[in-house]
Amino acid sequence: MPPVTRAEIEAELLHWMREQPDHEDEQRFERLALALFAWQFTHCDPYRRFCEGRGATPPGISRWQEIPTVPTGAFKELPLRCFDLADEIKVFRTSGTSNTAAGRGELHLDTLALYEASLTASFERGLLPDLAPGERIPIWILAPSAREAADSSLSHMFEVMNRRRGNEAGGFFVRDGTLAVASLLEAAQKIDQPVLLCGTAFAFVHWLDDLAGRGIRLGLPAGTRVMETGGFKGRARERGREELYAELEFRLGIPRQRMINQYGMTELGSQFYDASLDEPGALHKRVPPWVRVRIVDPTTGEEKTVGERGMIEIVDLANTGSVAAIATADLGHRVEVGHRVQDGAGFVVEGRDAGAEERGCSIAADEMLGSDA
Amino acid sequence: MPDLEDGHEKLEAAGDQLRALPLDARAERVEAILAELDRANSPLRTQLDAGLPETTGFGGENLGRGLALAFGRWREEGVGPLLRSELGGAVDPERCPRTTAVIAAGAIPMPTIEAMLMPLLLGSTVRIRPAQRDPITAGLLRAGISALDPLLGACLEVVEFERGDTRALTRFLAADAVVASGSDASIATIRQRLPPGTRFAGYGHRLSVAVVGAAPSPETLAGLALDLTLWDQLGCLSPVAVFALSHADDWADGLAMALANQADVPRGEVPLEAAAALRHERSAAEIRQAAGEPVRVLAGEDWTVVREADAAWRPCPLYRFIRVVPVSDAAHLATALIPVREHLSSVGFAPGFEEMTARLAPRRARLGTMQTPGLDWNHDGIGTLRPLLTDIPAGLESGR
Repeated sequence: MPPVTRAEIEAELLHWMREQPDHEDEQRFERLALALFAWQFTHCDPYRRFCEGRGATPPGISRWQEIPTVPTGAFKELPLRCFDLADEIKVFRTSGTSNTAAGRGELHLDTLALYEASLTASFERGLLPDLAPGERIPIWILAPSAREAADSSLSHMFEVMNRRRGNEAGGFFVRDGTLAVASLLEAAQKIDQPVLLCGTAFAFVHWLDDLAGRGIRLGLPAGTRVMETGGFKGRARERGREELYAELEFRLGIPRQRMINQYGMTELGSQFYDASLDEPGALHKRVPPWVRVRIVDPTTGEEKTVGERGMIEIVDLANTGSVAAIATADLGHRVEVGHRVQDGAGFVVEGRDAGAEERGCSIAADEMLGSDA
Repeated sequence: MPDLEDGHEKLEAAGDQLRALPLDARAERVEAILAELDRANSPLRTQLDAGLPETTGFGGENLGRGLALAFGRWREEGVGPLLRSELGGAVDPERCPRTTAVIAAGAIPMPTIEAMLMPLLLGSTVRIRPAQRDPITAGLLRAGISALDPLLGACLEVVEFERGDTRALTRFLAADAVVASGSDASIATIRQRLPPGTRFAGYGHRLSVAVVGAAPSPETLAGLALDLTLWDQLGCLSPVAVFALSHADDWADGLAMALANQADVPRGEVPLEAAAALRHERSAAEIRQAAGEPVRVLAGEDWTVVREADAAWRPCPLYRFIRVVPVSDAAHLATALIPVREHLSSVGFAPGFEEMTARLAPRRARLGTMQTPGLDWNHDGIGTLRPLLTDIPAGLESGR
């Protein structure tokens, strides 16, 4: 009997997310995805009308690929939730860098259980695959704490993971909106165990600039790894990812293969990590079993074949309380994951949507200087 | 294409000869080039017509129409209005640059042509690095000018160096004056790299809007549709939103019809990034419509009109995507434009809205002429020749 209520769907998903090792199950995904679509169609009025406008209703949808996707931009415009406002316990918001008046993207939640189960499973698989279950590691977080940034999903994630897998030698290094470079340096000079360094790319740039200014090179203990997320667009100093990684290697002594990029967005309950820590040499992002990523032609909506560039669409079953099927404006391509295909296809992100600030005319879009001019 | 280190002496010698000419003579020679550009079957024009569709992605019909309108106006008005408005008709030779370095950007050829020709009026040689998205205009123009006027041709040089090659960039910027187009970040980076005393005209990120009010007429709708379709909205002078003080629905419906009638000027190539953004913005509007907001999405195969419910500023993915935004009065309009105020280049206006739009942007234009400024247009509020001059006044060289 397929699950019919959200509680039943979530119970099954929670069970799936806690399975060790995690594993693909196409039938289970399809069954849960269609059940979740039916639930969200019924309980989210804007989404229902949007789907009806496209002639897509639950009885007529038989494959998860047919579920209509909502653009991430819609999360800036509408409270997309499948529950009563009175039951809301948390709202995560996108960062406020947008120049538009349409507001910030919001993910509304009436429970954190599934959200945290999903982020934990992906975080552990992507960043701590070599640690024993429950083993702790210092997590140095170059981002504000959840207390300082209550609506940041990234800070919440770090808070959860620091609580679950961090030890007393870790913590948050952005305090009162400032990167505590002196504390970081002191910690780095004392540490005698591998560390997980987490933060936004821009925060790492700040720290590296400070180290360079002092002429300091560090050699963090073997086994240290970096989780970096976010871009540089709109910032005073832009730097390419590979350049950042080269500087991290030079200044901190962390090998390139231990640097992991996370692709995530506030609108999603799940995140994607480079698979390279678990599979040395892998260049793709791993897709959690309860998520599907499609690479589609933005004009026709048809799915691209492996290696072809297209627009990234995501069906994330962790998004039970909002809308699971999401269209980004980011580009990427799918890759074969070889013998591990049963673990789910991987994908590569080729470019994130620059946003309105970068548009306006072709002059502004011209990459005239390259990344390092 | 010559290397950065090549050709200095020849260029300098040509520059000396150019500066020996009076301003009037230089203006006449530049105007002869403008006439050649406007002559439909001239070799230069034929080469531009033939080569640009492939390299820029614009449709041939669109490109042909855009070039004809721009060159037609340039030839008709000549450089006189520019010399009068920016130089007062005369210039002190001591204030003029001897060398100008141009960093071009974007897919539209006119800014490249303008940036190559106008410094010649001041007696300056020009070295230009072509735009990534229009790699041919600079070379074609130089070759065409060389055939017509060897002296002017010898004053132009097209150079190429790797993007990201900061040493080459620094050497390239070693000129009396620098003209650069690009993103705000690129302009800021170039500015930081300029040697002290270098004169600089930096044209960064810009966009334009239109302001309308009374019920639309077929003429105003056709003009607005032309402003929108020309160069597939990739020009900074093309409107990305239409602010309607009344009759927003009529403008949206009428514009949709006018765009549908532009089938003879098909949209050019749409890059994947832009196609993704188009789909994204169209879907976002559709779900707002589904949520019960009075938003309407009118769309054809290669155009989209979104009749907005409110005046919030929203992204425009370009490529013939336009929002018709209702505003109640001038104050509301000014408030709605706050998020983009510093980036506004031009405001197009419907008849009767000249006064309301007077101070919104550096330039305003009647609907249908937004994309065809004269050479004397107040380029992004900076001007074209003015920023290339030093500030020290001395003797004057007479001119028009």
